[in-house]
Amino acid sequence: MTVAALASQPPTKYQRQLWIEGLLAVAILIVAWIYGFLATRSPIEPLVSNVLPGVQSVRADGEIFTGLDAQGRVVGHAAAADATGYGGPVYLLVGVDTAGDILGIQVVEQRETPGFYALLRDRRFLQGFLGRPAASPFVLGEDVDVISGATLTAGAVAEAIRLAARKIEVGALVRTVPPIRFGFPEIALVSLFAAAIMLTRVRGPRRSIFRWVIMLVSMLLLGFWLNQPLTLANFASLLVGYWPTWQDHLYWYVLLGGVTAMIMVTGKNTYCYTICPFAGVQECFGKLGDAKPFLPVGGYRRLRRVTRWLAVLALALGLAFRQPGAASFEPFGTLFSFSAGFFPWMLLVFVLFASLIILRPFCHYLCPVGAILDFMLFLRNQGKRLWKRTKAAPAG
Amino acid sequence: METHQGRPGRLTAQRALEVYVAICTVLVLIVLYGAFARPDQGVVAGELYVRTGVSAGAGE
Repeated sequence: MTVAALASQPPTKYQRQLWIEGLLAVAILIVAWIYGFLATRSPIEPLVSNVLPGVQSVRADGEIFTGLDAQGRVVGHAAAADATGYGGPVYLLVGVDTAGDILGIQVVEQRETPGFYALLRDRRFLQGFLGRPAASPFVLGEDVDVISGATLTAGAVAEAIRLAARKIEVGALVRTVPPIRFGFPEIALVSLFAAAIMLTRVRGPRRSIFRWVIMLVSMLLLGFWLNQPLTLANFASLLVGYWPTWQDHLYWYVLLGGVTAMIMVTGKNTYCYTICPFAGVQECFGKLGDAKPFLPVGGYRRLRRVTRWLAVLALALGLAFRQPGAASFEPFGTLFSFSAGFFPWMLLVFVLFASLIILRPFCHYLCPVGAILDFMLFLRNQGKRLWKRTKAAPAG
Repeated sequence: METHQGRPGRLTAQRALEVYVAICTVLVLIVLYGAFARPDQGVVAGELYVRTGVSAGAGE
C-alpha cells in the first residue's frame, strides 16, 4: 500500500479517542493557566519595613522603595527581583542601607522544586549575602559559593539578589545580561543527542551495545552527576512562562529543544528509548532480574490512559498554582539526588522492585514525560498524515 | 497469539499489573498533594533574613 493510500484511510477508533482526549486535556490546561494567571502577585510595599528595620514610612519611586525613619531620614532602599531556577522562580525583596550594604532579604515567593530549595536553606545560603556590598558581582562560583546538588537554584537566588541590588544602585530597572555559559553539561547533552541520532542508523548486534553505552553514559552524566533529566517541571515551566535567561541556562533550552526536534525530525521518541537516565536505571534493574516487557493487549491502552491523565492533572496543578517544580512527581530527583520525603521514596522502591520483573514499568505505565512526548509524536504523525492526504487529494 | 493454556496466567498477570499501577497512582497522588500543599511553596512573605540576625516565618 502506498503512503498516499495509507494517508487517505480514515482514523481508527483509538486515534479518534486520542484526539478527543488531547482536546479535552488542552482545554483543561488552558483553564488552569488562566486561573493561575489571574492570581495576583503580592504587593511589595508593606514588606519593605521587614528588610529595612527601623523604617516608619515608605516612599515608592517606580520599583525602588525608600525607607524613612520617624524623623524622615533615609534608612535605606529596597527593590524586588526574580530569577528562574530549575523548577520555578524565586522572588526576593532586598534591602540596602545608606552605606550600600545589604541589610535584609525577604523571600516574597518561591516556586522552586522543594528539594533544591531546602538544600539552600540547610546550607544557610541566603544569610551569606547579608552585610555584603550591593555592588558585588554575585556570580555563582566566583564570589558566591556553589551549592552542590542545587546549582541552578543557588544561581537563581544570586541572580535575583544581583538584579534587585542593581535596581537600587542605578535607580531604574537594569536587567544585566549574564555571560553565555556553554560548558561541559551542555556539551555532554549535545553529544548524547548526536549519539542517539547516530544510533537510528546503526543496524545489527552493534546497535544494542551502542544503545547501552549511550544509556549508561546518560545515566551517569544527566542522572547521577547533573541530576537534570527531562522532567514534567520543564514542560510546566515552559507553559507557565517561567523561561530562564538563555545565556546562562542553555542546558534547559538544549534539552527541551533537542527532544522536540528529534521527535519532529526522526518521528521517534529517541529520548525515552535511549537518553532518559531513569530508563537506564530501570533497564539495569531489568538485567539483574531478567525482566521481560509486559504490554497486555487492551490492558496496555487502558493503563496508558491513566498515565496520560496523571500527566494532565500534574500539569494543570502546576499551571493553576504557578508552581512548575511541584508538578514533577517523577522519582528522578529522589534517585539521583538521594533526597525526598517518605512517599517519593516509596514510589521509587515500588518502581525499582517492579523493574526486576517488568521491563521499564515506570516508562510504560506512569511516566508523564513519556506521555507528553508520545502525544507530541502522535500530533506529528497525524499532521504528517493530514499533509499527505492533502497532497494526495488532487491526484485522486 | 495467546494459547488456551497461557490465558489464565496472563489474565492473572494483567490483574497484578493493574493493581500495581493503581498503588503507584495512589502514591503519585499523595506525592502531588504533598508538593502542592507544602506551606513553604509560594507562600507570600516567607523567610526573612536581616543583618542583625535571622528570623524565619511570616513578615507582617
